[in-house]
Amino acid sequence: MTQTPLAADAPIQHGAGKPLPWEPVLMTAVGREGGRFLPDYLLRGGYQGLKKAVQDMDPDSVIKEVTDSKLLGRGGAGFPTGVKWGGTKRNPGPRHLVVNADESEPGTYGNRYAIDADPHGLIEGMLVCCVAVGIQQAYIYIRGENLYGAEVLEHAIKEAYAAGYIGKNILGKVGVNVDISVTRGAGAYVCGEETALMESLEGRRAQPRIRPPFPIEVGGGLFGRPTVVNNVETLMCVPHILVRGAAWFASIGAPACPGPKLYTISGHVNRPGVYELPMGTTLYDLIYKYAGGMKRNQKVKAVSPGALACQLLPGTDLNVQMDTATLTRPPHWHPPFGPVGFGAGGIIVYGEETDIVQVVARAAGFFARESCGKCVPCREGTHWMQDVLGRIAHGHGRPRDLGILEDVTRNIGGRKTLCALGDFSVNSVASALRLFRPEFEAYCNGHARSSAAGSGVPVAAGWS
Amino acid sequence: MSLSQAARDRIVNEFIPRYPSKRAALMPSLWLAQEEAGWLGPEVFEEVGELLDLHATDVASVASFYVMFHRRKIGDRLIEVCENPSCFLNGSDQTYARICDRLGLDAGHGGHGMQTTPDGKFSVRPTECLAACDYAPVVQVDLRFYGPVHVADVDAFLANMEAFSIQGKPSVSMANGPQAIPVEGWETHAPPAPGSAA
Amino acid sequence: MTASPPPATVTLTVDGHEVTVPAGTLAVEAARAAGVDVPVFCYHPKLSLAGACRMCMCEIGMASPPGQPPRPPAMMTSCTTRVSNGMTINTMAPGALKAREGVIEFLLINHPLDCPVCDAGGECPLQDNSHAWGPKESRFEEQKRLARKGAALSPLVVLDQERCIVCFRCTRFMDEVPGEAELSFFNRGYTSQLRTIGDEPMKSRFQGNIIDLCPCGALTSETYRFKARPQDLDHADSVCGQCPVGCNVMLDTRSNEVARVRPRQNEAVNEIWICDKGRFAHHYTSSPNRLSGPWVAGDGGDLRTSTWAEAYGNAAVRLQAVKDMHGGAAIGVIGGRNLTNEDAYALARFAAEVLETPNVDFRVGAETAMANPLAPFGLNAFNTTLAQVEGAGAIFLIGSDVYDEVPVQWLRIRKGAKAGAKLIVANPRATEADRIAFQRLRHRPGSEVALVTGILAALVETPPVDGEGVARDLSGLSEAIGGITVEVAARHAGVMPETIRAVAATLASAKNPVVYAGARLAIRQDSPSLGTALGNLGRALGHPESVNFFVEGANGRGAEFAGLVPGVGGVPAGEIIARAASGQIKALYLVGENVVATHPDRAQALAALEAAEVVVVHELFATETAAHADVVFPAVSIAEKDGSITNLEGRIQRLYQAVRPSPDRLPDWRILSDLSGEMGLGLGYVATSEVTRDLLADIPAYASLGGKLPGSEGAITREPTGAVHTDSWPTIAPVPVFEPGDGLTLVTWSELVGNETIVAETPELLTTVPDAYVEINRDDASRLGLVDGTNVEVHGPGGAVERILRVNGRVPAGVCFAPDNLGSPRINAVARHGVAFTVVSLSPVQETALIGGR
Ligand SMILES: Cc1cc2nc3c(=O)[nH]c(=O)nc-3n(C[C@H](O)[C@H](O)[C@H](O)COP(=O)(O)O)c2cc1C
Ligand code: SF4
Ligand code: FES
Repeated sequence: MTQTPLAADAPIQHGAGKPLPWEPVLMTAVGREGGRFLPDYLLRGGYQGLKKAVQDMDPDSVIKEVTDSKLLGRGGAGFPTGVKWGGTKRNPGPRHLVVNADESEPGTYGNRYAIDADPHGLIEGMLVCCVAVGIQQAYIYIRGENLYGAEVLEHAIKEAYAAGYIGKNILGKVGVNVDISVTRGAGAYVCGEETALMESLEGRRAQPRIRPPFPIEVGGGLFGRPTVVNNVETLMCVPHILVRGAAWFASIGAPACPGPKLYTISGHVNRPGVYELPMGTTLYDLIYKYAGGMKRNQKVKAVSPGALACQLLPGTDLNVQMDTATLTRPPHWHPPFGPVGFGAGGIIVYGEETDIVQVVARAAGFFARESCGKCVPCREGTHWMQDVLGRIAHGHGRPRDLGILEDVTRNIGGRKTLCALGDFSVNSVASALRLFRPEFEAYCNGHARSSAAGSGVPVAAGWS
Repeated sequence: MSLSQAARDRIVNEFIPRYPSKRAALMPSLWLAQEEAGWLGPEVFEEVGELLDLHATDVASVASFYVMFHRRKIGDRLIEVCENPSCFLNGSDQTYARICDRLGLDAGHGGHGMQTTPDGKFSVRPTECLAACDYAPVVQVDLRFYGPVHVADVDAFLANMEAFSIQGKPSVSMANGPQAIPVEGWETHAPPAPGSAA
Repeated sequence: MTASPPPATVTLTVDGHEVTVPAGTLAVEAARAAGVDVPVFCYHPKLSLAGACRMCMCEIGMASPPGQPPRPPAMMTSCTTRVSNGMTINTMAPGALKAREGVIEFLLINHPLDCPVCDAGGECPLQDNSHAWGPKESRFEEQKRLARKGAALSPLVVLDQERCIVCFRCTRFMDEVPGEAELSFFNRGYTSQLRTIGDEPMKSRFQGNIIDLCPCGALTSETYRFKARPQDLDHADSVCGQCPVGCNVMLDTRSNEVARVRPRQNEAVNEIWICDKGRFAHHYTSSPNRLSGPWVAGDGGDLRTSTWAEAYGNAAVRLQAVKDMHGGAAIGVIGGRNLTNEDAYALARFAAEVLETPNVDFRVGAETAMANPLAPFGLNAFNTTLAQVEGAGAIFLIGSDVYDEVPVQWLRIRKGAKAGAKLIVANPRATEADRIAFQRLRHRPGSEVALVTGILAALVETPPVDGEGVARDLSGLSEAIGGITVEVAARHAGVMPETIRAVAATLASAKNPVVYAGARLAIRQDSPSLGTALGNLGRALGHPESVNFFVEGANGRGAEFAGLVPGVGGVPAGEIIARAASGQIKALYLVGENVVATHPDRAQALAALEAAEVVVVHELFATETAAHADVVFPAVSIAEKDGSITNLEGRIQRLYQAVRPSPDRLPDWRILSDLSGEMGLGLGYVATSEVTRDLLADIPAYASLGGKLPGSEGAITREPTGAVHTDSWPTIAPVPVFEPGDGLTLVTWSELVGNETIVAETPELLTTVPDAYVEINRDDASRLGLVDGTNVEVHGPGGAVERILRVNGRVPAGVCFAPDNLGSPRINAVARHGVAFTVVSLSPVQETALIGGR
């Protein structure tokens, strides 16, 4: 089996110094009979992390262990998880934990498989967080479309209550009480944004809140209480950190943002799917080694490294390491918009057949429809971009459109909006204009290339 | 009264105690009400509001934010076709057009509105990414996912949706086991690895 | 109240100028303090922070901790950023200017730009900010958003959705201030639309405020639409004359007519809000239906117009005749609660010096001569300030639906409750305040004394404990309440003893309790007992000055101070009418008081007007009472007056004439002065300032003012009562328990906006007045076989009226609730004056049943 050396030039080491091939940490339940049920989870060493946290460690050393592991949030912002927990704990209780299982970023679907396959892995991670931070109420917010996932979780929660992992006096330790429930969203991408999520969980329109106060502070979190918001995948790493140690975790993959990562690859690849690999795996390996190469042997034209929210990477940049640290630092930083971004690791690969103008018009439509409408630049700007790009994609572009588009992206992007959705909305557009300007110009000069993927549906022109 | 007594009981005894504020029971309450009637009528907003101490306008306004809450009656089954890039690259536009065509609806009507067949059996609309991109193009029917439904599969799909179900299935990539297995023979059509001698 | 330590301050620079502001100040306010105006749309100091419009972007740099490298400044919204020491705010940074220009462009691309036909034109923040900060040309070539234009949110407020910039000011106001979330955005993003559910009209009585808040022309006033341009308007500062709160208003006039009423800021009174009655009910001031020139009854009793000289002569001769024949006490004077202090003072002097009668009262329907039930404690009837509820630990409301009685003060009560005050609501019927109440007492009508006695009994059981854990000495209180136990009191009041104990515990542990009793409780026969009970409650809680009675009328307190209350040997207003009906009182002098509608016994009021030898009336309109008068003098409205007015907390405030009156109408003080001259005892006033001068010199409550009316904030005044009396516990005279028997006890109340004459002159407001109704409990309805929404006949000792029946859970069994300012005739047509409670019965109206009803 051939190995492709990483750009860092050293083989990835993990576990007891084992070289690749990679052995999964998070996806051990896949392919096992009854893998998602409690008995199998226990067979796989389940709830050992919780046991350690409750019986052998004090809460602060749990937080220290997580901090030392250098685990960064997997939801997109890449904030150090241990720091978030410690910060929350410094604020007075009651505190809450919210699991962000909204996962609506186009091209991202690792959380969905993780929940389907191993709900107890999530629950155990949540419980460890609750024990460490001193939380008694934890809520899972899952996107409304994923009813199946909600059912899997409900069932697992029932099992865990019955077995005494959730509820009063967990594992017999008096005073350690945690309740967990599941709340379903109902179709709004912005609910992935943590403050919008909390608004939704509180029964409101999911419009993001101002910060400060931050979620970890009094007045800023769920029901006004200090709150930890973590992604599903983030929490699933936690039990393993406790069982195998922070040093083990920190040794996996990219040193600045270590650990296993559920990459999801889709688009023009032969084997789209979820790949659990060490953080820092190169794009080249992901596409050619794991995802089976490109459909119809096309060249890679471009990649959305963290789904639609991130800037496009050109197809010439295949040796880039796919991780939070790399993609948020120069040279992957393009003022005034900021980093290319890694998001939640949902990689969309565009082959050379792709009509990038059509893709970008679609991305603009997505953000226009999903803008919550609270702040002006996002509400009006995303729609303006959608209108202009829609017109261009329909062959009615005008030469001055591109200048206007560029300026509109600058009026939205660069931290001008209430939440990051505004920044996300311009990332594809601005980077595509930077990388593929001639294609847009061709459209605007009446030389539209016909879309290889075809377009049976006109690019959305707005709500009816 | 449009909420059943059972639903009221569940809201009062199960949803409200779950959260520290009454209002937070709104999302589950609306889901429950929609499960009962298929959509949310004005009386429901009134009744849910009464149970949660909210003005009916407030309730309706929250419901209207979320595209999965229907404030008008819809068809018996709701078919939604993902139109985001991963599915688009795999031909979801054609799938959508074919589904509309087979149900006698106009795929080119534009926009994101929902269309319903005259007999009220089906409603169809495009939707955003369903987080199942490895099965692109993905179709959601009611609250279950199906895929891949290529344009050529549409007739078979409409005849027997369950054959396309991906609910609870592992990802394509994990079909033969838990590991991320490198594809054998990938080198044959891979371009030279970046950094290797050009 | 304990003085809080002075707030810590923070020093920072704004565009290079150093300023020092209190810690926690928002950057936008700090900039303002430095004289720099940052443009805003969504930010409003009275509303929660939204950070929605992004107009206020500035480049803000935080000082870095000592020893650390300086942090680069970042773009932030100045309306959501709190200042810190060493912060630098650059409001004119290139990035900020670019962001602002972008926001304006975004707002304008979908704005209809129909400024020439927009009411907001000329006073529109969107227009002003666009001019100052916007791009100079338009480059938007897409389809503009199309939405509803000219849509009625209610009969009073019109929405132009295309103009709306989605700043959430209106929805935040409705949700946060009156707590009536009946207006909200529907859908999301670009398609967000302001709506009510099913496009039902808004019902809130505070909705007019959203017109003021809207920073563009999206929300306009139905009554002011297309009426004027701001530059055409003249302005006069005035005080609202519709209720005792005394909100500060600005009367905008055009061509000597009031075009609109807007609130003026006075943090001590109304902050920046007014209610819809105050805002919209002003068209009466310029109504063609106003009386113009005096009327005198001819020989047949029919009224005809006359000259002023004839009217004065006629009234003087006839009043003098009664006075000569029967003595001054044979004349009854009622009125003054809606006049200015100047009018009230002149009326008081006229009654005392010219008519020489002790039978004077501004409190229509009053059954007790004692105007201040708290007098035995050396207290005023109102002892706190309106603003004080904001810092209260508990607020006890008894016998008042504050939403209708003191509307804008209700907003302040809500604010207090939101800030942590525990709200206790005691009322026989559910009120708006119940929605946010911490504890509710649904006592039986008329059992207020028993209820408060019960609370006192509970305090005797468990006395309040002070900070050191020492229980308050309540010895003597037990005797004052006649040894009554919580259980007995609870039985009389019809509530649970535990509830009474819980309420007592809440009050006992509250830091700064405030007690509000409804004005109606202060004029009832048993009000002296209730005053004693509440006075004792204040003392038992250690806060004797926390107890307050509301008062009816915009200047009820001013009328009280001016002495428009029964003199020695005098009888209250209710009794004046009763005696006039029975012939003991021979003449009635009624100033601005339509007693046929407002005296609690319509038949008796009519009989009194019939029987009296002379009836003299001052009025704006030809009311039912005026129709029975012998002489009618046309008076001027509040918009046409200069002078002063005193609100329920005793705050005297100044008002200025906005409209020049026609020579056919005169101020009340002027009529009284002229008439007194005719009667040979001239008051001799020809200018308002002369009356003001005398009133300030003469009225004890105003002694503190030093002979000058106060400035724009007004000034609190108090009736001097000597030291607050704390050395013994006055005994509460027991009140007999009322047993209603089989019938329904009639409970009445005034809706904020009813079928008053002045409301009728604003048709848009009138359409929001409900059809006259009565309300009963579901159990009573099924027992009596009556159906919600049908017409019923209400029978009482005074007669019968037809009403629409509302069946709901707001009233307890055995009670029939009826607003007393709806319908014609009013509900006073079924009632009898002089009985503690009217018992009524209801029967279906047959015709409706035949048509099928609902
Ligand atoms: C528009 C928007 C959408 C987001 N969607 C998601 C999401 O679907 N799932 C998620 O975990 N985080 C999402 N995030 C990031 C969250 O706000 C938050 O950073 C994250 O849940 C924190 O968890 P972590 O620290 O474990 O990553 C989104 C952020 C934005 C601005
Ligand atoms: S109607 Fe006016 S106040 Fe309300 S959101 Fe729109 S612009 Fe703001
Ligand atoms: S005024 Fe600051 S965001 Fe609107």
